[in-house]
Amino acid sequence: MKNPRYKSCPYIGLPDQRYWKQSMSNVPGTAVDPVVTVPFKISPTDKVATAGSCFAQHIARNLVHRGFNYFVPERAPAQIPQSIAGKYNFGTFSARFGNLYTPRQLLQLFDRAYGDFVPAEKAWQHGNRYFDPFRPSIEPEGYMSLAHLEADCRRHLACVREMFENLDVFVFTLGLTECWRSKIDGAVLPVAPGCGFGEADDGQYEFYNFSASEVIADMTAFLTRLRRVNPASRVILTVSPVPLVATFEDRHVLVSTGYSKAALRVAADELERSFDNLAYFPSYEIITGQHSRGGYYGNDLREIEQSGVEHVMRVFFSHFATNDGTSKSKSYTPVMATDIICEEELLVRGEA
Amino acid sequence: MLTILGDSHSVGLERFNKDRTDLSVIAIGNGALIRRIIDGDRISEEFSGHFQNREGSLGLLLGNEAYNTICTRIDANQDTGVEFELDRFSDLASPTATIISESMVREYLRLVLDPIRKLCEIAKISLLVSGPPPTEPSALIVNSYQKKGLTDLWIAPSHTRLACWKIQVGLMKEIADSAGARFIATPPASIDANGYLAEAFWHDGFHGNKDYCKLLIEHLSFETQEQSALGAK
Repeated sequence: MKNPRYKSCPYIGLPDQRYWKQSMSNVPGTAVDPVVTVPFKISPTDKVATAGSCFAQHIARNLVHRGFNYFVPERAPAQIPQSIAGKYNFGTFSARFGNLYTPRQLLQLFDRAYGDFVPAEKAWQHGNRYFDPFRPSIEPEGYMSLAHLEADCRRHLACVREMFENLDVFVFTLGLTECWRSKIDGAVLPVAPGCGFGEADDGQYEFYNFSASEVIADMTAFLTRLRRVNPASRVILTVSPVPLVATFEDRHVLVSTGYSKAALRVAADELERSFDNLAYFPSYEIITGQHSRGGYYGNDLREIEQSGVEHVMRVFFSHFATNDGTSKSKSYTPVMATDIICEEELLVRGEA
Repeated sequence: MLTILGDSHSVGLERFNKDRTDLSVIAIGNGALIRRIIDGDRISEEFSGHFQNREGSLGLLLGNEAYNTICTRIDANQDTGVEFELDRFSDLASPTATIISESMVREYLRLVLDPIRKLCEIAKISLLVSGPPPTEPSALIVNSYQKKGLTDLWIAPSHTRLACWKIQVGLMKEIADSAGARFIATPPASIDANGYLAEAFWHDGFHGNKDYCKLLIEHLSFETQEQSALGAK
């Protein structure tokens, strides 16, 4: 120690990753790895389920391509190839729930699956076809009747229960704090009514922006219930680095994006400190960090470039995969942004 | 001279057509083998002999079992209890079935039939002959699978299989139209009042029996307006 005034400085002698210079400034951008330790590993036999916002689809597809046991209880007929089944949202996530942008959606999905929440909202009708308000994009052409929608929903929710009760690892990507919900019972919808599905109705729906404490409360409720039906479940939380496509707050979308991601990030940190067997994985930091100099975003400054996804996945698997070579034996198959299904984009599709 | 090339559905046709002079039937093999006929944009070397220096017109007879098995669980590793129903029916046979959309089935069958489309385009096929409709009871299909050692299976309801078959027939008509070929439908006399293969023509749940083959030969003869030329010796 050259400067005696630093003799008792608590930062002296800390590991490299605690210092910006050693772990950021002096490291090539593509080599930045912000994960230090993880509380558990994922073995090739572990059933891994995924849910969350659009970015979660990257994780889902990479689990498949890298030979992990991607747990999909709700399957298309085995004869139908994934190239076709995927268009009908089989295998996009572990069950056909579509994107779950907010923790409240996740919590309500759980409660619906176990019969503890029965939303008043039943179906959105367009012409002679019926769409599920809670997963409107699942059947691209909708259902032929309300009875079919409800029958398929019953089967879907049975698969959701199967997923929660039998998964070993649940990867959930926190996406948004802004949502639209029913004024009747607070049922949160994945899309604003009137944006491609349903009809806007001020008397029936309202905009809502969750606070960080509400996100924590919702996730705490969900995790408590998940552990009740599956005590051994392990959970990985990520925050989507994809900015909001639009905000309904009366302010700039960049400011709303900043709030939304900050609230979700705060919640993830709180939850990591509160729950055992819960890990926060910093995909948000890997994409948005200074080391990328914004280079992981596409021309629209929103879509994540393939190089960014590769960086995230490289770090994810290097830490969570057990050291048996499974995850490294398979090459990464790029997932194009156009392959990602994102109801949030419906908000601005009417502008096209 | 009409030559019919076909999959497993043409085996019986070949057997019971021995005494005809102007109709030749060649059973190439099962559906998987049929798909091997195409090699890129041409007939594969393995099968080129069937298509070269052939006099008269050429027809294809394809049952293509995909319609019968698309909603059938035959993979022992597949999760148990997975059932599927097309979304076109107002009465759902199983309250626990996953409902799959007709458009997804159509897309799948179009993919399955793509080699046939290519073959029609490449090989100057003048006739495309449909295989028989499904049998109503699933027991025959179950038996066929069980003989192959598949015991943990679930067969789709008959109305689902019939609907899939109708979709397939529609797609085969489209293929025939686009290739300038004529589509020959199943002999009407072989179909019962509900649209299934009539009991008198059942064989193994997939294929027609001897009487069906004979009926089809007559049907082909009539439909191609060569009845006299195709008559028995």
